Amino acid sequence: MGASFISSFFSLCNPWTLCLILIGTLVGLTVGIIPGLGSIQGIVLLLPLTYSMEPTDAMAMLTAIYCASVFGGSIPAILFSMPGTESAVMTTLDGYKLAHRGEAGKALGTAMMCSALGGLFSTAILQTLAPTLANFALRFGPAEYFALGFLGISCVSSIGTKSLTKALLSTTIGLFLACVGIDKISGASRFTFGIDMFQMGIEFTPAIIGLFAIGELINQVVNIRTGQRGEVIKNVKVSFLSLKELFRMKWLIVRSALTGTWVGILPGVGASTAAVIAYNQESRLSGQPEKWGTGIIEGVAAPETSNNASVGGAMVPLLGLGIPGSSTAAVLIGAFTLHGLRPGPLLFTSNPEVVFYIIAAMYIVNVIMVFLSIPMVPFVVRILQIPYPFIAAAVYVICVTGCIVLGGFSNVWIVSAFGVIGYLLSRFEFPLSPVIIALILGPMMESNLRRALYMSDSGFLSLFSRPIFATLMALSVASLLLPLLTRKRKKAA
Amino acid sequence: MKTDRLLGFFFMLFAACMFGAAFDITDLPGSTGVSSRFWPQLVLGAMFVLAAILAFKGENGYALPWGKIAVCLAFFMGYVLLLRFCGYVIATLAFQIIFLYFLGIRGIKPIVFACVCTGLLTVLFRVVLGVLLPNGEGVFRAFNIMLLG
Repeated sequence: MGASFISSFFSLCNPWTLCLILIGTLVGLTVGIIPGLGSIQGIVLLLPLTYSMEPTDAMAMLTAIYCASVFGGSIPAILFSMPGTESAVMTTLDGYKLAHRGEAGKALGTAMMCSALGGLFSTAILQTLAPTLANFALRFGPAEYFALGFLGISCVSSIGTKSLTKALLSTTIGLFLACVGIDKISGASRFTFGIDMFQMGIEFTPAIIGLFAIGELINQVVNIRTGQRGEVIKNVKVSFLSLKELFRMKWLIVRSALTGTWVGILPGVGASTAAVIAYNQESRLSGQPEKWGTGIIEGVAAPETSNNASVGGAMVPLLGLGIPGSSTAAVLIGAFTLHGLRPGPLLFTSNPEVVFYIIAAMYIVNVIMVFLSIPMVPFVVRILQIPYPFIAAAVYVICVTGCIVLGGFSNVWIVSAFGVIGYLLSRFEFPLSPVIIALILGPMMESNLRRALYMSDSGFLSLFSRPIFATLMALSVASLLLPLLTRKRKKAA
Repeated sequence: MKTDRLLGFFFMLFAACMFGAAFDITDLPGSTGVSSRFWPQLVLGAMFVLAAILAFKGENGYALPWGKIAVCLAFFMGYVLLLRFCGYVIATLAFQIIFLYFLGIRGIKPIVFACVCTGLLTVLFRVVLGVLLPNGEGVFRAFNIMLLG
């Protein structure tokens, strides 16, 4: 592992791949900075461009977008009290107050350093944990794979949403959509209603673009006249933390990085939850919770370390088990599929170079994003003056063009239909992540359950005699019931 | 009636209809194992139960700006139709100019932006990546072939 990783690291250091990582980082920072765009939109916009690339280069570039976008959101959060991404919401609380006091440079420097440290920490965890998980997963049979998919879906549906019923309904919508097309086991045609383009099933990439990019676009365009922006702060000079300050916050950074990595590993919970948990945890542990939210440097360090650490965490189940740890990781599965790869335990044996490239790219991105973002700050002030209509017009055209590139006009109808579905679901407070994750995990769950039942003589209940299956199913039930019990307890209190 | 409840009834109806439609799924002769309608019916059964919970327990009402949504969709659909008949360059230029004008951008800015954006995208996809972009029909087709080759 070590020698292969080092050789992959050096082979990644060729000008073309480094250039792609650089582009990915710049795109990631840009989509993170621009409100309404995020890592998902960045990845889906660049996905068509990666079609002709080597899988290793493509995945390195797309991973760079993911890492950099999480940090990018904190720049407008600090400068304008306008988080570029959801994960930067907690950074706004203290970051903008610091900027308002004339310490914008210090807040930005802290965010840059802590984001890099959090990202590097979680990448190291990813490098250590993912192969172990993958080795363990090689013992799995169809029953265990079904249980694993069920665990992924149960976690996604139950954490971080307002309504468990709506989250589970979203999941069933995704599972149903995954049934459309020709059944791969029996060859039967399902829910195609005589429409040719449904025969091959719902194309994954246009579905993601529609649900996330177009859905959000409609949302922004509909509300375009009500958007408010914070006060603009100009003349910002970035200044990093001194070694003394860094040493003073060492335990805060370690705790936040651990929290972020752990939260990232949990399927369905993203960078924003990681930032909230780390902020709340550190404000309680500080002994002076009343100071948090008034503009203290720790209030920037904790959420920024944690949200970037969640990226490496989210990649652990993605690479080790083939289960997305976040919505962006779910979109990355689409990218893997586009390049003929299947994330999960077999990826470590069939295409280990891709895994090493991704990990190596994450180390590089977490370092270079600091240096790239410094000269970007003055431009950010200008970019954010661009009215959203221009961004909307460009994004829609890019999405449609991308769909035409990937599969012709039929994809344009799919992207438009999913755009409307995505918009309506999000307006009615149905979470979108379960739809897309169920769309990914649905076929895997179905085929493995049917195989497991076919191989078992005495039906579904006999599968519980398999220890790994029983454990995974117990964990799934627990993750489904836990939020319900927590909510009931909160209501009772 | 609250929107949540309406949505619950909608999904109940949808699940019931699709559950019925699943009975038409027929396995090809010779296929063995669990039927291909087993999983969809399991999923739709779960959807029906969850939708029923929403229909009877849903509490939230939502007001949507249907007019704005319809206009937004009309623009998007219009662009797709324009692509088919006028080709990529003309459709993209026209869509961006009209869309920006509709969203309140006045003066020469929409035209400049549309020209720059369309030019960059055409060069990127057609010239750099060698992708065949829609050429449109009739006279537009001849024009686009002359322009892009």
